[in-house]
Amino acid sequence: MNTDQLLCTFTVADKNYGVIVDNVQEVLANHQITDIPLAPPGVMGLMNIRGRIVPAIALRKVLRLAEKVRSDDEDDEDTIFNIIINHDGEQVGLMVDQIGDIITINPEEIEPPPETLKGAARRFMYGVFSVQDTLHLLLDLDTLLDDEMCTRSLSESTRSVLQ
Amino acid sequence: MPQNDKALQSFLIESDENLAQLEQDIVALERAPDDSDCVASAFRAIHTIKGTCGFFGFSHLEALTHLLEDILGAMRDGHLKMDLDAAAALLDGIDEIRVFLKHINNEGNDGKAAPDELMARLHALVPEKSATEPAVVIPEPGVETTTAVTVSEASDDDQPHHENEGESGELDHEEHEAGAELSSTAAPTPTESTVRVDVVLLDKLMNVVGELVLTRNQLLQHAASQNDSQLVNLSQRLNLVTSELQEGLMQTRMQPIRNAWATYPRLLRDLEKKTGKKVNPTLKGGDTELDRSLLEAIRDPLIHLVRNAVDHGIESPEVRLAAGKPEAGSLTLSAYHESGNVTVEISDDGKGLDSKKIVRRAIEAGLLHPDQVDSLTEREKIRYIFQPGFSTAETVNDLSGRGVGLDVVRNNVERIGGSIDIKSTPGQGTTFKLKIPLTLAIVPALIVRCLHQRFAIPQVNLLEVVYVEADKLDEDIQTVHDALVYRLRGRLLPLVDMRTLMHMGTPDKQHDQFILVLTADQQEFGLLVDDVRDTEEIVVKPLGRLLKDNPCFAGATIMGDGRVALILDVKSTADFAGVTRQDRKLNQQANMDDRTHQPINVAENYLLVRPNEQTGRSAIALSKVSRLEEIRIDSIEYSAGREVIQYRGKILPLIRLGNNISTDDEDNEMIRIVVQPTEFGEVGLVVNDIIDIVSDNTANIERVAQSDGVLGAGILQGHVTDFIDSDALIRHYRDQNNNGGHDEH
Repeated sequence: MNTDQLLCTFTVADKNYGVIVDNVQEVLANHQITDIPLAPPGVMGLMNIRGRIVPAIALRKVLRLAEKVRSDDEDDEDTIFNIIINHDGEQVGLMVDQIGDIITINPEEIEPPPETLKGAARRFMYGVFSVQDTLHLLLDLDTLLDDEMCTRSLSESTRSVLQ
Repeated sequence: MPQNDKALQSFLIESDENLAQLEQDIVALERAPDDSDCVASAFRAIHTIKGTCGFFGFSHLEALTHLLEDILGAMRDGHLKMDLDAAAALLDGIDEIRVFLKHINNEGNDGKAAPDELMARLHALVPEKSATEPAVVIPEPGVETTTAVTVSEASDDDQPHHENEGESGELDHEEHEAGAELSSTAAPTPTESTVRVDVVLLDKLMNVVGELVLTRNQLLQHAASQNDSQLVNLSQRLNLVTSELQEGLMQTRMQPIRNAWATYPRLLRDLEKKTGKKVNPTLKGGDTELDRSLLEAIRDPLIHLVRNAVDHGIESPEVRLAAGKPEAGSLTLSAYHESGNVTVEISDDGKGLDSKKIVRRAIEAGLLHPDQVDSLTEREKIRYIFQPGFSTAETVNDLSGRGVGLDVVRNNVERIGGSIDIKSTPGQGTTFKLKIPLTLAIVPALIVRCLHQRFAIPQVNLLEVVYVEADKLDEDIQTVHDALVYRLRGRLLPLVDMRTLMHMGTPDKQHDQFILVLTADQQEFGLLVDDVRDTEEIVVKPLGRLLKDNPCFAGATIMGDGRVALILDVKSTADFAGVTRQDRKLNQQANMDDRTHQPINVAENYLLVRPNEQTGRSAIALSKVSRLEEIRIDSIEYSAGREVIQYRGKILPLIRLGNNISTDDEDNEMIRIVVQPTEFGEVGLVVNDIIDIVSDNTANIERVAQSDGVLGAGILQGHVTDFIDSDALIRHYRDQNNNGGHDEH
């Protein structure tokens, strides 16, 4: 029995991704983020979402994509979207460049990632699906949020420097 | 079936409460077997459990509770008297019921029957079946009152020798009450005024109210900036309502501390049995309320302290009698509110703590340097029992054990934002004083700014705030090889610059700074921040899984403007900054097996210097350094053939550390001196170079008789290093001068 899967698509550094909508709570634009000193490199800071403190994950960093180049003439380029995900009873925000659509997909249409896909991207990929002839990568949140970019505080590396 | 689950759950909770009551009553009865109140109360408790487990069909549990009920029923009716054997058997029975309840909680059924041996012991206690049998089996709560009364009258007639007239009358009266209450427990009456609430629901409500409070704060800020009187009025009303709601909800979470104390009578009884000591407990202020999560958090520390007081504080009856004290030791637990905190005191009238032994042990464990002892107050000395080193004590003396696990107790108390203090008078007793905040979720904190960010520093860790003006920065804050120090009332306070530590940016030398003097693990350090704002009551929120190993922050809070501020974990920050090195010292102590070396405990920071052009290194105890100066070589003058400089309006004699009076100083314009206070006034040690400040000290100093003024040599940071004995050096210098017929004074 194949039940259709709802996916939320988005782009980071002009690449297309998707997550399963069941986990998505809401999408926020330009939400205030507070820095956390010594946080894991992939954790950009903390957001206040109606009284709950939610970490914001920089997908660019975790997916090892190029840093965003700031363009002064295009102001609307600076909009940062946060997809708030419920994961393991906790909320996290995924920082993305653009929000796409909510699409319906048959799980059979999700194909395994191609052999040519290498590196960080491959590690976090659950599979590949296509929307209007554009290939999207479906992210596996469990591996993504377990990655050392998200979990390993700077403390360990800095500690060795300090001593 | 979820409904059944709920009923089962409330059966478990209720039974747990009833068991606690039962246990208390039995222990009380053991001391005063004639207390009919207690008998009645114990009977009611077991009767309720028995009744309900019959309803659920837990036959094994029912058999056991039935037996206990029989025994207590017989006691109630005066056929049986509580004695030590009976109490022991009943308590074992209670333990067994707990095993059943646990099994029911895990598996949903009552499993195997209770051990035969226990059942036999209990059976043996039940008196011969007699005419009083109906009193034991209570068919219906409704008729209970009358049955009980008639039976008790009958029993009084049967055994008139058992009680005297007055007592039996009283007993009769009690029976009426017991019967009446029994029927009220069996069928809830309309006067029931309490409701059981799920803790998860309460927590959730607490969170929602927290949000409401924050929204209120934001609205108030907004309304204040608006010129709308209607809005201001409304927001004021909202303000009042929210505060009331918050307060009310907080109160629902409050529980009297008596709940935590309920287990003590049993605990003390078992301890008395085990140690052969006698203890008279006094519990005061049981009505004092605090948040249930805090109550949970201090339950174990309190039990530990009580156990500790009996095990190690209170002496055996013989020793007590010999010391002219009453045979039974007294143990007092009292709780009361004090300046926004709850204070719990546990005091015994035992032998007290011997600060000399504690100090000796602390020195052995490498926690304390012998030189430091004199500067410690009595209170500071006994506080060493809270150090982790004491829990690994191997030395067998009467002190050992007193400290076992006390570091854990302290940690647990400090984790919830509390503090623990200790007072002790040798021969008269010891008092542990715990200060606990009223609630866990809300903490008073100082809000500080560092660069563009705000941080919250819990008030419990804050000692004082020192203000340093921008143009005084270089003068007041000294740097030794990247290590910052500040001289606070004569002591060198290690400083940590928050920006450097947390990789936030470079220190700011343009603006005024603040030093927060913080305490962690009894060690003080200063944290350099940009600005100090307000003190605020902040709502603590967890950081979540991704940030759980962050070395500096304990949580986060939401400020009035809706932004997030991080809460500093002072203890972890100190560890991270390397201010506290306790663990390492202990490890070294454990590794110090090689007894050919004469170990000298070096539990302090050292200034590492290069005395002369050669590559040799020397270490000077940092506590003996008052300042580091760079002076021009041409400012050196001579007095009595000795080098001196004019320093702060005085003459400062110089001592060359390397035995090379004349070097090619002409090449260097500046020389570095380490200013040290001595009994003869300040002197300056001339060194070639200052290398570092080290507190990591794996050096076993070997006493090599090299020259005067050198304590010995050891390996520090992988290099052979001479340890300077400043006192000897100065004495040597003085002697030379005196021999020369000159006097410095």
